[in-house]
Amino acid sequence: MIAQTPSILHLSRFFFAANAAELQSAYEGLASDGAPLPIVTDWREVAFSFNRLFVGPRALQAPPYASLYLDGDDTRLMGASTSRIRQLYAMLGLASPWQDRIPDDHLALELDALWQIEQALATVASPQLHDARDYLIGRLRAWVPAFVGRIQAAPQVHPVIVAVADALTRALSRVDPITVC
Amino acid sequence: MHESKSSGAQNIALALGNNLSRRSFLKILMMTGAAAALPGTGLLRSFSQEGPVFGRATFAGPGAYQTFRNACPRNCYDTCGMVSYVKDGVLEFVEGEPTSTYTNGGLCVKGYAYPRTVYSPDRIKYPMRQIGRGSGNWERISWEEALDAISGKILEIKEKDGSLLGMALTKYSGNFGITHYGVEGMLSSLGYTTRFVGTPCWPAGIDAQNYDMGNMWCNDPEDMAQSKYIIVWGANPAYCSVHSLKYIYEAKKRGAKVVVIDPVLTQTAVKGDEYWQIKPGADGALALAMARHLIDQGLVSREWVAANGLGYDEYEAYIKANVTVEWGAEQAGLPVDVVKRVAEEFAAADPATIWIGYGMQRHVNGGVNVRAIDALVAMTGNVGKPGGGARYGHLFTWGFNYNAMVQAAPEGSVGYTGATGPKGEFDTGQGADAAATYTDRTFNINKIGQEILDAQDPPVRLLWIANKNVVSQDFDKNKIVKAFEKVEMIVAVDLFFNPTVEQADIVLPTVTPFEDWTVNVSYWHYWLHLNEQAIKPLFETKSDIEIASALSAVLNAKQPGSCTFPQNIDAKEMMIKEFNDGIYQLFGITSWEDLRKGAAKAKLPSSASWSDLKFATPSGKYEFKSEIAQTNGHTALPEYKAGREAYAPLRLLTPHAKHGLHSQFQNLDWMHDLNPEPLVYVHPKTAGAKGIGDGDTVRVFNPTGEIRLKAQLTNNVPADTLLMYEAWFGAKNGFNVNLLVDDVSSDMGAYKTGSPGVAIHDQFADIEKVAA
Repeated sequence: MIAQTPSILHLSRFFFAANAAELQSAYEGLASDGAPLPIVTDWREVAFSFNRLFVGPRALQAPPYASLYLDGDDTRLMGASTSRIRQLYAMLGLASPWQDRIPDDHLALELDALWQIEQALATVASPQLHDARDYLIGRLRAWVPAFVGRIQAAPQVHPVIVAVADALTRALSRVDPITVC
Repeated sequence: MHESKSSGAQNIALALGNNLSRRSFLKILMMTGAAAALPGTGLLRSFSQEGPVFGRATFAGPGAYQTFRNACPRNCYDTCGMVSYVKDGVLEFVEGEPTSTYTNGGLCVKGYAYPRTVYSPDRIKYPMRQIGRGSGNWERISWEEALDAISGKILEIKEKDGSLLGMALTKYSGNFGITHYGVEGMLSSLGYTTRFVGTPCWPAGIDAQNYDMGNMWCNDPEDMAQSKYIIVWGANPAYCSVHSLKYIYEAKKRGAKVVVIDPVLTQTAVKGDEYWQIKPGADGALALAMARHLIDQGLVSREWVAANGLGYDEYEAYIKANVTVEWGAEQAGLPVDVVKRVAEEFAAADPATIWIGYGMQRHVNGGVNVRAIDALVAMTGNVGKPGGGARYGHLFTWGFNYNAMVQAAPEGSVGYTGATGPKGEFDTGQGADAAATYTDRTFNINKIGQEILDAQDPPVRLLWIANKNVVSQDFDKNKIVKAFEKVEMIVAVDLFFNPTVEQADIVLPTVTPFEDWTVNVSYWHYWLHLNEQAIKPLFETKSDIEIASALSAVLNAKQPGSCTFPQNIDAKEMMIKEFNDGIYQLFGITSWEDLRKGAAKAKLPSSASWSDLKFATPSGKYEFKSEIAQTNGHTALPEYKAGREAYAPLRLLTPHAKHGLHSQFQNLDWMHDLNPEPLVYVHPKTAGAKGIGDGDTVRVFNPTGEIRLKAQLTNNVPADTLLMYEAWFGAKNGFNVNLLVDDVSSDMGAYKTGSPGVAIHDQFADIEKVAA
């Protein structure tokens, strides 16, 4: 069982937030999980920083899409890695309602898949789901550090987002050891 | 980066590549109850909860592409047909349309890069509002919030001013799909507004050809293969019309001679048999000198001018009295004997043609210079002949319904009561609404900064910008940014965050051609291309007409009857409504659906324009002497007109780039690989005199502004000339040639497009080395 399962859910919702209110809601969820997070006084400022990093309209400082980190020089949305994660979702009987519009490898969707697997593993013993979980964690560990690195390197990032990025790194490092090959 | 895998993870990785394994995997999950244990109610949903059509559980195998027909709408001669290849809902690659002999299965480098546009992570994804213009503080808003704010402003303006003249539109060539004229339709459906009219591209030449022949109408470019002599005058098809080059090559193969006249040794120039490095703006003087030589040598086609010309004798008399070959050659900076020889060769060849580029009319004397070149083609009897012609452009195939564009003003709308003219070159009504009680207020599209600064009663309160990166592409950037401070709300509809979006209050995300339904034709070739929606619009992007429709719904909910634009539209149905019997007959098709099988070409009586030699002028003749030109303040004959006086030591040219089309494409990653940074090209002699070495950082400056960038030394430009290609390099680069280009008008353009053009190439600057 992943140590910070609830955090995965709230992290997913944080990175999928459409506005300051949704950011705040997800953040409060994270804080309730016990994550050490700074107090926020102006959520609008957090949203401005969040949009510069992940949403736009300016060129993104840290695009939250796996294909941009996993597909080598082919830095585009809907790349080979996007196709692979969509296939994983399908293997699990899952799909994104935003399919073909929001790339399936958006960080929030990948974290959501991980959260759903963890939820299922809490009630059923399934070697297949264990395998899927291992794959997904391995995949996230392959690209999230570079993504977090871009957040850390971006100018004038709001400290709240740096803190959430740290929480993301911690959440992915606290899972059961994975055999890396 | 690679995905690390445990043995279990490796099992999954293997299964991902195998349809059968994936299905087996899901089957086991279902049988063991593991699938049911997944919540299925997070961001990701289970198939069972959403029904069988939700999601795509199976995947296409290798090679299982769906194909769609698309068209490149980016204001290019070539307006290519494309075939797009889609797999699992993703546009994987594009090819040139094979059924068009013009596109001929190939695209330019920009066209092949289209998937990089569609799937650029930098695309604008959602409606967003900037808190403090230029602050960079953007909040994501819903379409409802965006349209609520915009509609609120529209109703506020109407209430305050009693009209909507305080709402202005500037829109041009970012997407020439016919349904995109729905942007103009949206403004019309709101009432009488302010329109920035005209075209920055080609207006002086349009007027010139209208004075001479009664319309702008070029031969089919494919018939250049039949030409025996081709002069490419101020055009660079190697950059701007690669598909035309094959006809020039074919003509050469058949023995034709190709002469390229350009101030710059372009990639087209090096492909010619002969290259003339003309002094910019001296094109008219050169054409007159060539005409003088033809007259002197008895090489004028007397029969042709007698049968088809009006005022030829007066033109000849003017030339004899005012022009010598020596004078014209000196003006152009060319040797007299060469000018004479080529004039003779041109007259002797049958057929002979001149491709008149848009670059050569971007001068204070550009229109009259085009007239002089037209006359040269006419007096040699080459107008109306296959393989001949004074080729400039045409709108012969643009006879659509403009269903999206033509919208009625809401009842009771109040508008402008002053004089008005055409609203651009595509305004087929040509000011026909002038008889109405009210009209739109028109401003010069090429002087947007000055017009906004001067606008009163009412000022421009709300500016809608679509299909146009104004701050990059319009003239005198600093003036534009200053003028924008006067505008109460700026709405930009765009694909990418460019300098115009940077100055907007609200940005609305729009679609690429592959996410849209429309239809496209060219202003150069004679093919018709369907543009199908090949993929779902990414994120929350909408097409121009979808935006108009959504705005109409919000406005009518707030104030019934306040907007006539149809609500709840279907983009495909709107595209179908653009077709009519005239289009079907012209292209020999029975339905728009025929275009799903491939492109259609206009059924022309001849590949030559004016083949019946019945011109659309008042006299029905080719008018060497045009009374309309005279009435409009020009000389009746294409007389010599001096260029703009230099106001700085060096001429500055800012022509079209190879890897971009105005402000599109160059921002893409592939283009950055090929062309990583903007450069100013300087002749070694000029650079040496100023201590500038290759790769040095320099400051290029004039009274309009300055740019800092690297210099590249080259003999391709004249010693008295600086060159930098116009392009928007993306958000990380502030390069903008219009920091140096002022908004001085060219001589012509107002007659047929509503505003004169801009003397883009009559600009001057100085250069100095600065610290890197």
